[in-house]
Amino acid sequence: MELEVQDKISTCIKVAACICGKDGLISEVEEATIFKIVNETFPDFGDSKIEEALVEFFNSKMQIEDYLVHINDEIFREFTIILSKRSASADGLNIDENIALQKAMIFYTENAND
Amino acid sequence: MTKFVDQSPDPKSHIKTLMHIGYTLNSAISDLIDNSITAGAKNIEIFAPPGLDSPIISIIDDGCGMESEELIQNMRIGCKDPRIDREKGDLGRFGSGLKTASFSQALQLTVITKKQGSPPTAARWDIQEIERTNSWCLEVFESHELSQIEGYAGNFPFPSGTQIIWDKLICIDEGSHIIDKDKELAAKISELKSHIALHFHRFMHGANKRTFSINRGEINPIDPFMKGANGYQEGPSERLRCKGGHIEISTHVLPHFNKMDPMTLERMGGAEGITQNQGIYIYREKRLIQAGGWMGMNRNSQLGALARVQVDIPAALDNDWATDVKKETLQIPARVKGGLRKFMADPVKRSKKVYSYKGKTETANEFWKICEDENTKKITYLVDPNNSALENIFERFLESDKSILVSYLNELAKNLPINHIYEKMAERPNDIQQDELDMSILESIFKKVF
Repeated sequence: MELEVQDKISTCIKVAACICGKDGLISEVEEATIFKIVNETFPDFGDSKIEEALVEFFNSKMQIEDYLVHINDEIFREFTIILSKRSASADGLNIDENIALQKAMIFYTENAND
Repeated sequence: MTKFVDQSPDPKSHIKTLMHIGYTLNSAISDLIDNSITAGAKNIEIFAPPGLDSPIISIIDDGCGMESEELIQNMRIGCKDPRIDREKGDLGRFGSGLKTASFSQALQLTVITKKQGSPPTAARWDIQEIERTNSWCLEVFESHELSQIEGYAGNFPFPSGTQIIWDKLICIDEGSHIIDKDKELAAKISELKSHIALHFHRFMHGANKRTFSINRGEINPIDPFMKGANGYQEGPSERLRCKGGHIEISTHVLPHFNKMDPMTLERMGGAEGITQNQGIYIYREKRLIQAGGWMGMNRNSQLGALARVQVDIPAALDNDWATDVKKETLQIPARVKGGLRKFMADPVKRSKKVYSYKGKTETANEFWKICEDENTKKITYLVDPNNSALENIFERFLESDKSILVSYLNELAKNLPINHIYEKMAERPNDIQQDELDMSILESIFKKVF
C-alpha cells in the first residue's frame, strides 16, 4: 500500500477518533467498530497501523478541522464520514458526538470543491 | 545582569522534609513491595522479629537484584524522572519510594542486593549520619563487611534478590518498654498483613502468582469483590481507550452479609466495614491504590453497601490521574468521571435489590404490619391487628380490658427501637438472633404478677 494512501487512512481514523472520543475516551465498542470497518475496507492496512493512528491521535493536540483539511478526495471524505458515523453510533450517538459529526459533514459540504 | 546562585537544599533540613511526606507503615512497606514486583520477585518475605531491644523490619525478595553501581544509583533520591512513562508492570512512580518510604519509618536504611552469579553488595543511608555531616554521604559496604549488618542472615537466601533492612524504627514509640514495643509492632504488623492481603490480592493467584509472607506466615488474598462467592453478582464492564492506554471498568455486587460465613465477614471488615468500603476500587497495574469510597461522585448509603466499581489504569496514566508519591491517592480526571458515572448506577441499584429482597422476606410476617404510604412517603410499623392469635386473645378479654391492651400494643409499636435495630443490622447482622429469645424472663415476670 502506498505511503500516501496509508496517511489518508490514518487521518480518517483520527477524525473518527476525534468524534468518538469527544470527551477524551473511546469506548470498547467504538474502538472495535473502527478496527472492523478499516479492516473490511482496507484489508492491507493492518491492526498495527490502526493502533498507531489511535496512539498518535491521543498524543496530539490537533483539532478535528486540522485532520479534515488533510482529506481532499471524495472517496476518503466519504469513508471518513461513514467510519465516524458508524463507530460513534456503535454505542449510541450522544450530543457531543453528534455535534462533532455534523461539524465534519458541514466542513466537507462547504469545502466540496477543494 | 542576573546571576544564578546555587541553592541546593541543605541535606540536614531536606532529610527532615523527606521523613514527613506522610507515609504510614502500610503505605511505606507497599512501596517497597512495588519495587520487588517490578524486579520480578516471586517471593516477598517480611520479617519483624519480636523481642528485640531495638526492633527492625526487613523485607527480602528474589527479584533480579542489582549490581553495586546500580545500587548506588538507585540509592540516590529521585533517581528516575517521574515524567518518563513506566513500562507495563512497573509499579514505581517517582524513583523515590525506597528512600522516602524508608526515611518515614526508620532512621537507618540498609539495602543488600545480589545479582545472579555475583556476590551480594550493600549500601546504607543513616539519617543521623546525614544530619551529623550535613551531607548526602552513602555508606557502601564491601562484600566481606556484610556480616556486620544487623538483620542480614549471612548468606543471601536466593540466587538473586534484594533485602531492605529498617533499623532504628521511628514508627514504633521509642521510649516504650520492650514488651510494649512488641505489642505495638504486633498490632502494626497485623494491620499490615490485612493491607497487603487487600492491596496486592491480584498478585497472589494465577499463573504469575507471587508469595507474600510476614514472619514466615503466608498472606492470603482478600478479594474486595468476593468473586465466585455464593451470591456474588457481576455487572456490566467496559474498556475505555484514552491517552496512554486503556481504562478497564467492571462492576460487582457482593453477596448479602447473611450469606457470608463469619470468618469471611470479619476479613471483609464486618458489616460496618463492607458498608464503609462501598464504592470505587482503583488499581494501578493491578495494585490497589484506592479502596472504596465514591470519590465525590455518589453518596455512601446503607442500601448501596454491596456495590463495588473496579477501575484498572495503566501506570502510563500517572500524570493524568495525579498519582501521588506514596501511591495512596489519585484524582480521577474530569473527562473520565463522566464515563465512570454511567457504571455506578447499576451496582448500586442491584445492591439495593439484594437488600430489598431480604426485606421482603421479613415483611411476610403475621405479627407486624408494615405500612408504606406512597402519597405521604410515610412508613410505619404496626402490630398486625388481623393476627389470629391476637384476635383470639381479644375475644377472651372484657371490653374494659381491650382498650388497655390496644393502648399497650400501640405503645409497643411506637417504641420499637428502630435506630438500634438499624445500627446493629448494619454493624453485626449475624449476631442478631431473634429466634433464640430467652422466654424465661417474660415467664418469670408473669409468675410474679399472677
